[in-house]
Amino acid sequence: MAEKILPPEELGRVDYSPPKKSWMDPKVEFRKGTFNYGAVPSSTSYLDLPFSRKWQPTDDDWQLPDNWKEIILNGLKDRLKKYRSLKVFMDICVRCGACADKCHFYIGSGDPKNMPVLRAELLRSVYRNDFTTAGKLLGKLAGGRKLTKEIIKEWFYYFYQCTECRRCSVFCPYGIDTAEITMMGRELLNLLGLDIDWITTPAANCFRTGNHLGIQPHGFKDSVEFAVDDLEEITGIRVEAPINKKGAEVLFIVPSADYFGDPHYFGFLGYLALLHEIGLDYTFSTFASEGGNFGLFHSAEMMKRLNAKMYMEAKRLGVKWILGGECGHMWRVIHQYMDTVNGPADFLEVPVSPITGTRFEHAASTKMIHIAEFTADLIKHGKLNLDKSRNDQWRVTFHDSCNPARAMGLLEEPRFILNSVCNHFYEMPENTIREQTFCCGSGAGLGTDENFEMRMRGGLPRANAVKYVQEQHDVNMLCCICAIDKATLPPLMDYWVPGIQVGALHELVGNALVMKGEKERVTDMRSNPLPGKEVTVDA
Amino acid sequence: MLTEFLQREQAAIVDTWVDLIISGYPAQSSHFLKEESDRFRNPVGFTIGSEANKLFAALVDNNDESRLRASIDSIIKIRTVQDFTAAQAVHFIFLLKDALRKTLSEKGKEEVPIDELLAFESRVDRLALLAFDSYMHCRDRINEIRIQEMKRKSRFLLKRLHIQEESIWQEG
Ligand code: SF4
Ligand code: SF4
Repeated sequence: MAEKILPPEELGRVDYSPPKKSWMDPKVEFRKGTFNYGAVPSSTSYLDLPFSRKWQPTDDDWQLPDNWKEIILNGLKDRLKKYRSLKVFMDICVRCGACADKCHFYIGSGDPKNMPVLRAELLRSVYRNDFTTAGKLLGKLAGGRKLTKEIIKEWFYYFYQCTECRRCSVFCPYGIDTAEITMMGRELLNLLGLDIDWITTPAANCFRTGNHLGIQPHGFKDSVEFAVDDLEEITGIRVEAPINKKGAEVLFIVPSADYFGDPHYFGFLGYLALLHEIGLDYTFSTFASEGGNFGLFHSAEMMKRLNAKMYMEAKRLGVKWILGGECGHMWRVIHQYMDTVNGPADFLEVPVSPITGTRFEHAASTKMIHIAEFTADLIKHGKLNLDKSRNDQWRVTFHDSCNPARAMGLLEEPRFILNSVCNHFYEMPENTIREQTFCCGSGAGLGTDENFEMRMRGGLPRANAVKYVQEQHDVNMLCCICAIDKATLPPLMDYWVPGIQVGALHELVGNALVMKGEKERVTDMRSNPLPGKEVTVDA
Repeated sequence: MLTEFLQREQAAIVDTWVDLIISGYPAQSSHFLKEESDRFRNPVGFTIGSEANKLFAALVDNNDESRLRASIDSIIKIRTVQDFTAAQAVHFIFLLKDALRKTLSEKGKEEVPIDELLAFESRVDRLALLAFDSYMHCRDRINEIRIQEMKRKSRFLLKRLHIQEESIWQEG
């Protein structure tokens, strides 16, 4: 690993200022803890990706194909033609700087190349050099850079330090979306076989088995049955959780972490309780056993491939519409891309809640709605019997996950649900929530163990706001509706704000939901004693 | 008396100290880190500024370690995960000496007895040792948290296989 140990005479040096260098200098250092591992060849070859090979970012020689330059420039040319937005983003930035200090990676690191404007400039400078007249004539003077192998390494370093969260775009007067530029940068890198493992292996798994973890149908079935047992222990009610049931009204697709991960699982129990209580005619699928779509972090093509399987399953099972679980980037795909890449889903019907009769017009084309919308509608119509006091052990704050908040505007529904299921809900400061929410720092495929320090940097602004409500209101739970968040916020909290648990929205719904015929509840979804029931459990 | 000077010039000394700390970050970011006063928009700059002030006051009052420790921890926690080596992460403490000498040469009207100055500098050195402890603690925490993260990912898988988690992962 490229970790530098200073010689003794350097240690005694008083001036520790980093060397002043121009942003145009592409040199980067891959320090342990700040980058992602390269993809394993078994995954890249499974997906038929080009130049599958064993490599690591710390290698001096990245074994680029001989015609790498040509591949990149042609790839850029194709994309400029295909995506008008990319061409516009390349041309119209006036470098006003409004976005500069809005990126959580910049805020946490102070590294100028994490300013969104400079992140985009990494690609734009090459565009300028090779695709604009001024750049062709003036080169460096016009802000152009000649493409070099160093620049490829720099791209890899910084395009995998962007969680594609789109916070910066909220502040750009021209609506430039740096996340889209990052996506293009990653697509270009992938053309050279520079994929990262945490994106490619889950995508390969999903392509093979239907979920990122590679769980096979019998494993999925086991997991669901296990949850049904657990829920029975807590509530005394044995629910049905149909799998691959043809002709069900609704196909329910959750992120796979929901049935494996801690704390996701407690929210999964909440879903099962809720859907049983309202008597929804639904089914899981062992083949569409993943709501997430790591293809989104790879390329438009991969996103399309993985998204298609959900709709093919809906068709095969003959359902009317699709309900999706608590996931973040799944909704970026559904709301912003699905319709263009695989839609419209004409063989399905516009989602209508059979319980309330509400027609979800906004999903008229994709035929898919988020469970937070569905549950909020149930509560609004008074269809649920809720006992808020069963969440009195929690003092809750809500993290707006980037994609549900910024990509689909799901801002009010989760708050409405929270206010209906618990007595103690406190907002974080205004400039850190809703559209301005700070990312968890680990999205878009960056949530790996090897990238831990970078994640802690990127997550600092979020954690800092949680710390504030912990100090002000004794908050002890950070609730969210995204599977990546549920995996990556617990370590973030453990490092920056010890004492905060992370929980799913439907975990709290499950706690509060009074089910017909339930036994006296003594524990919550975590199997911890409910407030006031501690003695009963101990006895 | 040194103490009088330190109390009178606290603002100037701390300001110079913070400037020196921030000059350890890339030049293009110093303005933001120094000037953005919203604690939520600029947690790094805000923490350095406010904790440096507290540290200095506690040092002048010759407070016990516990009061110093909280402020040291807040700054070190940040620097541990930034682009610094261990030496660079704790080095900011020694910059206080530079800040003090600079302010003394610019604003010190009175004679400052050398033994008082040396005594104060020794306190700064002790602070550096605390910072090193704090840095090591943060590194340890990172390793513990990484292990816990792995455990969380597979918790319900192991439970399903009827494997007692503790038999595989000894709690640290
Ligand atoms: S806010 Fe928009 S126009 Fe201004 S620098 Fe950023 S990307 Fe460019
Ligand atoms: S999309 Fe998010 S992570 Fe990427 S540059 Fe913008 S603010 Fe930073």
